[in-house]
Amino acid sequence: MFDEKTLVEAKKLQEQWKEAINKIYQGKDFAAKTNSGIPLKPVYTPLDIQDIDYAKDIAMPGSYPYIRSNYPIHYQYQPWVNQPVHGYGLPEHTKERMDALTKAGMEGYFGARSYNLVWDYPGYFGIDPDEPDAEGYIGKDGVSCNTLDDFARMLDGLDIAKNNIILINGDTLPMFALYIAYAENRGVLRGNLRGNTMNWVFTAWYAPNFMWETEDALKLATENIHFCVKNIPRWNHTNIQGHAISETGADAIHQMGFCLGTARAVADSCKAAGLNPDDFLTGIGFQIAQCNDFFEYICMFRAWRKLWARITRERYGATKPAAMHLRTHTNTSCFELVKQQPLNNIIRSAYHALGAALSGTTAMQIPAYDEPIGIPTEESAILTLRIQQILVHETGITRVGDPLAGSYYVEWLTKRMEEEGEKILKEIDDAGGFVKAHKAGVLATVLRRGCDQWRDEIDKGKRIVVGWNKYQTEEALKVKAFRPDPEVARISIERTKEYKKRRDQAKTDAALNGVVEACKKLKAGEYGHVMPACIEAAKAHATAGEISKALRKVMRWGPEYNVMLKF
Amino acid sequence: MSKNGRPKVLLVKHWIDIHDRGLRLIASRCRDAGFEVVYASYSQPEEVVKMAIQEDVDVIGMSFFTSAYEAHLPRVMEGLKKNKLNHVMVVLGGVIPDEDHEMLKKQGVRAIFGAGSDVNQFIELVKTEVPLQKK
Repeated sequence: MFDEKTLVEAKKLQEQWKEAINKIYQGKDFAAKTNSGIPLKPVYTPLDIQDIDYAKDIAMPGSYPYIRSNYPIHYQYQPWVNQPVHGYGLPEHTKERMDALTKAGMEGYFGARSYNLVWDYPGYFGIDPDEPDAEGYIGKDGVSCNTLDDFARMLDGLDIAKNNIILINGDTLPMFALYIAYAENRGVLRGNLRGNTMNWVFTAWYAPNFMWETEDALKLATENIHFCVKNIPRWNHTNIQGHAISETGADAIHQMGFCLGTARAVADSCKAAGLNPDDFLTGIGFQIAQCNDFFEYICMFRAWRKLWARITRERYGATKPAAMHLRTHTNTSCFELVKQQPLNNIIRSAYHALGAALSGTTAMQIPAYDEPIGIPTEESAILTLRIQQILVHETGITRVGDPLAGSYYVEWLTKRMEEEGEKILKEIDDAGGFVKAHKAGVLATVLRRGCDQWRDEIDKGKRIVVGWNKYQTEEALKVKAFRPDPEVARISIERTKEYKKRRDQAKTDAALNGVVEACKKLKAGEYGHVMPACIEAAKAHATAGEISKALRKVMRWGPEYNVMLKF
Repeated sequence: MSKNGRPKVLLVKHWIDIHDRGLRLIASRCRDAGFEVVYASYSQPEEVVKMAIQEDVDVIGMSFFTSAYEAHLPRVMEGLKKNKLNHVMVVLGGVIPDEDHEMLKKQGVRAIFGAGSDVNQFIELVKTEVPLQKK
């Protein structure tokens, strides 16, 4: 990066600086560490990045290795997409929140908006409201929506061929099938739909303890991708959930490494299913947590773009730039928001969001400040949008692309993050590949340890959290928890029962049986049957829960919920 | 108190509640404090009572990310009463709004440890009160 003369001078100046600090601070050691544990010097110079080759390692935005941005011009042309997560109560309650966010100026690319809809726990796991396991959870932390009618209550009147609909739930295929069936009943062709499904086959496992069994999960995820590639090429089918990994205890380097490991496992499976990497890679995205340690997460992000570009090109032979792009949805840190003095959380989130913006993210969700207390109110939800709007319109950070590039520290740390990411990928390979490493608990162990360590540091005062372990106040909490309408559960159960009563049961049963038969083919490695069968079942008025259960007749669901750990 | 004189703690959450970071932390802190720990998920609240009997625990810790305690807790408390397990200490954790604390304590919840609570307070509570429990 530098000529000989600059390096000679830099060395001389560094020596002088060392002498000065020894003299002024009597040899005190100012070395520190990033939150991931990477040792830091108090200051960086050209000497630290002399081995970086500008053309090869950094280059211009929009060119390989895309370290600076996917696009030659980014925020100057289109700022990131506002993607606040929303969903609670009945579908019509969620519609109210969607409208409130729209009115508050939620924006996406080229006038389209992204409705980032989250399901309640039962919807997440393919349980209908009228099942015993749903009790207590209906419409609480997400929307209760499990039928074509519910989709209509939530989405009628919205241009779904123009706007993005994002379905956040665990059991991807049944809910996606319902959405497609709803859209087609409305006369919108499936190929015109745009949005995201989660398809987060592996990441769901280390956060909770329950999901599809490893190999079958991968088959279901690949089936979804297979369907999208053939039918809805624009659909973002897979979201690798870095945020969940982060919330479960991963530091920056493990979030990045584990996500890349997950993505490789999914992409390997797609390639084995005969799909063309240029076709399926364009639908894989990453949900990235931006947390404390401002610079480390920015550098992680830049390194992540570079590593993914290299993996897609070298491992999968991607040739289209879009197939090498790291599509990102930032979800700023939740675990670092605390209950004590909750308004402070707005400040924390604003810094996380600033970090994400300086990283060049393509979409953003910010948790509300009152989430440690309950579900966000309309006011707190809109405040998260205001953070994004202030960043775009008031700070001036959108004027210049990748503005931190060239900083001695940022470029050095980006390079270090790249090396750390490669190290984790190698560890996964050495453990026999991602599936094996996951099954052996290698990944989960790292996360548990990270979680305990974080809390230990807070309890011992080694990590300061303002208002929690320093600068505490005795004031009572003034923020009241938001509560969805208590009638939600009753109405949701009644609606489900009514829905089942009204339909042609023989037709529904036959369609559900079609799902079971399609699963048998999938089990044998034959793709292209399950998603169409799920859509048929949805059109025959099967509920999301019923389609999920049809899948479970063939595909293994587990580990069992009642696993008991003793220690 | 378990046979070896260590307090025995059952830590549970519903299987569809995916937020387990807090409960896992409590589990490792209890272990570090020398308690015996049983960590499990349940589907129906009655299973919690069944596990408490089967494992002969002194304390039940339940974690909730949402207000599902409104539906689940009465069923657990009733089951404990029916099985003469009134001595078993029940504590809650998770995201539990302050205004619900009184209602929960009236139902027999000994303490509530929400976000940002001091884990040591829970450990101390168990150490102090479990030896005094009369079965």
